[in-house]
Amino acid sequence: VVPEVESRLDLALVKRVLLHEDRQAFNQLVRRHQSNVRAQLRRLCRDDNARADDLAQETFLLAWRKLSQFRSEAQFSTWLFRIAHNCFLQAYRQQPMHEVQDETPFEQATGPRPSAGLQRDLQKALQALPEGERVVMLYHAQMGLSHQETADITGLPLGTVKTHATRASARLRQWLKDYQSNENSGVTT
Amino acid sequence: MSLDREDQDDDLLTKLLRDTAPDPVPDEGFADAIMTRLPPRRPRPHRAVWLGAGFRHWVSSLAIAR
Repeated sequence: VVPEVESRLDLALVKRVLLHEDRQAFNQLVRRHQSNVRAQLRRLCRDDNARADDLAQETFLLAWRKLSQFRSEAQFSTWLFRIAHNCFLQAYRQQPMHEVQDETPFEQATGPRPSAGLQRDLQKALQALPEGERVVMLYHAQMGLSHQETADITGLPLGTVKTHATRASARLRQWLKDYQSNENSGVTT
Repeated sequence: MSLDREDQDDDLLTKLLRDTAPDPVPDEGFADAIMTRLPPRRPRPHRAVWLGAGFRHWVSSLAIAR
């Protein structure tokens, strides 16, 4: 029920911006969504927060310019995530993130290290996934969005999103299994 | 590995992934910075202008028909 209420509130604010040029309403939209959009971009930019925040600014400025193109069949948050994702892709094409250039395979980059925190190591394992799988896991598994919403945001076909999710889950399950067996045998790094 | 064990691992992985969701980011002046950079929205053509243009087109098409 709460997301539906939130969604209606977004829609009401969008209408106020479009009909009355209401800047305060847009300010409300920015305040309501800045945290999720910036967090999304920080993850996509592999925690390069300054770059992520530049892209977040660009995202909201584009949203302001293109607001009349927003169709209320989609959630406003999904529409914003899509703009942010496109801003990221455009920036990434112009200047790739340095870690992305690392071609170390997932299995080599993520040797289990039981002495480190499990969550921190899982985060590293996620970062080492192939790019498509990493992005799908961010939206679907970490942010809790549906396969369809993930497809809408990334522009990937729904089938590709599901395939990426399945493959990434299999890799991570294996990673967790190795992690646990190393921890049980007392392996440290 | 038994199915139960696999299910447990799946549940643990799902929980771990949710726990590693991105942290909320405090606003810290972000929204205000955006507001100072907003350009004026492009004024939409007034509906009357469109109606007027349509009417003129209709009148001229009548004149051509004659």
